[in-house]
Amino acid sequence: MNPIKTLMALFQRESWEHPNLIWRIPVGLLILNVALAIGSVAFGLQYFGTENFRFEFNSQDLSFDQGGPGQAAATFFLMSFFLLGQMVAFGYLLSALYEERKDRSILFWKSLPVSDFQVVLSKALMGLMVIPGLYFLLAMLTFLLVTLVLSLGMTFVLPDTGLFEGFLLAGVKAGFAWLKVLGLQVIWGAPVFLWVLMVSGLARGQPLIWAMGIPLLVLVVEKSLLSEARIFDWFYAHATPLPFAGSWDPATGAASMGLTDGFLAMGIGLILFSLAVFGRRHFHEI
Amino acid sequence: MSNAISVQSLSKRFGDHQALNQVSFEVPTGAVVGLIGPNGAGKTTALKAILGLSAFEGAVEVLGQSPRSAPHQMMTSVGYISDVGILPRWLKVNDALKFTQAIHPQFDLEKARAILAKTDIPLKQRVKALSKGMVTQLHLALVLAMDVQLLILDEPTLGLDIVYRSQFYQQILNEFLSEDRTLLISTHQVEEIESLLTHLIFIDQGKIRLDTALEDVYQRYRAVDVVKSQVDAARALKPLSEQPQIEGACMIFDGVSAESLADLGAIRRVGIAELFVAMMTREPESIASI
Repeated sequence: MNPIKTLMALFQRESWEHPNLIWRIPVGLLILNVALAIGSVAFGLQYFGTENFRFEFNSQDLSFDQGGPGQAAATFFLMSFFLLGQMVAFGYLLSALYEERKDRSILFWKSLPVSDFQVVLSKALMGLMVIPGLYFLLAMLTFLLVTLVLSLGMTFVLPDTGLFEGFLLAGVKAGFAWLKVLGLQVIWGAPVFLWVLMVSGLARGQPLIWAMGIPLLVLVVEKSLLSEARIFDWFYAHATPLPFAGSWDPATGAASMGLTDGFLAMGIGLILFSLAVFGRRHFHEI
Repeated sequence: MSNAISVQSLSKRFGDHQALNQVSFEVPTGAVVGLIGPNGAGKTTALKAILGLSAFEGAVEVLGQSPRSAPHQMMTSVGYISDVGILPRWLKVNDALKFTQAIHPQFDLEKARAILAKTDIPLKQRVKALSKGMVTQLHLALVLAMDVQLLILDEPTLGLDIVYRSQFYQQILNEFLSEDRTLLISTHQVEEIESLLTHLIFIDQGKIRLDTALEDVYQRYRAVDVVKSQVDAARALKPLSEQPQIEGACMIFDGVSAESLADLGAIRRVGIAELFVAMMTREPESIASI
């Protein structure tokens, strides 16, 4: 079979199994935000009226090239959805290979002509890229819809109806800048997310305890034998999402990552991925 | 005749328990083989080794391939239904069809739909909302539409009522069995598959107790409803088993000619179930020499 077609089918299978995590939660948040925006506009117009309340300022005030309310509003949605997406991806990967062994459905999946590599790859990509990507798209859509609702509402009280174009453009620009954060986060977070996936494929019970417990054990061993906990600290740094690891400038949206650390993260991620494939091949129903 | 499955010196140990001990057997292409054994005999362990689902010692070849080297490629030509419903509970029937079509090169969607149309299974329903019988019907529909060469069934009708069980085997007979297709089935309900079988393998405590073509079973073993007056004479011929009846006893004989048994009572064809019980209730050592 065409490997891309198989991968797409596997992604679809994940969306059937985890509709809440993958799309219902972010779509729900989108609807909530848009509803709040509509409610705010309706309440504002009802409360203040359109006659006695007028803004008087230049549209430039709302559309600074760097910083400014447009970028700030977009970053607010991008950051909120991003953090939620990272937590959802963590939870998803923690159960990704464990649940199918627990409910014995692994015997059904393994009776189909799909390799362990393909299955584990689909789950790794789902957690590392697809879920964060979907949350990003829905964050941008939320920003656009909320902006649209507010701009429509403000046309009643603002003389310049083109006021929000700059606001919108600054937000879209912030969205494109955020794509780099997302891309770097895939590499930065790979060791932690693939660690969680590997534990999900190997643990005979309580994958969360194993996923958290082993790093803590490493910390204790390192602290007991050495003066510093280098392995744990490195792992902990990568468990912190990139924007909070000191590599992101909120004012400009610029993000960066050290080349050596990036390669190390990819190398360790690859080893953990291979172990997850090995786990699915050899560890069956619980 | 080529072999669909070849198992040589298969051994598997779980801690102190030797689940399979140097098991060897072959399943010819086109055969319908019943793998019969009591609980814990090693049936599921053997089937899992054949499917590449577990590590083992020994050599296994399925349709000319090693199940451990590339099991997913082998599964293009092999279908498997397990002892309990292993379809994921969250999966919708329609999605199961859609997914299988996307990943299986030989899956015939229309055939699957046609099979399901004869059942009461709603296509929009999730597996968790189906009865156990329906889940088995759905799984069978998926497997039958895959056009596989080898079908492996591990206690597929366990826990199903008699109507579902009957329909299940009828469907296998109508939609699957042909000269070039092979069926390996493990079950407790031996009498239900007796009419399908061409070969028989009895397994107990991880060892093969009997491995033969069904026609040879009928040649070798005979059941006799021995009349009361002939019971002592019959016992002298060392029956494999003896079940008391109101007027005499039912005895199963191994390798005794029909002529020698003619005076003892009515000779009839031995049933697989009664032969199985007869062999399993004897000491393993005495059976091993049979």
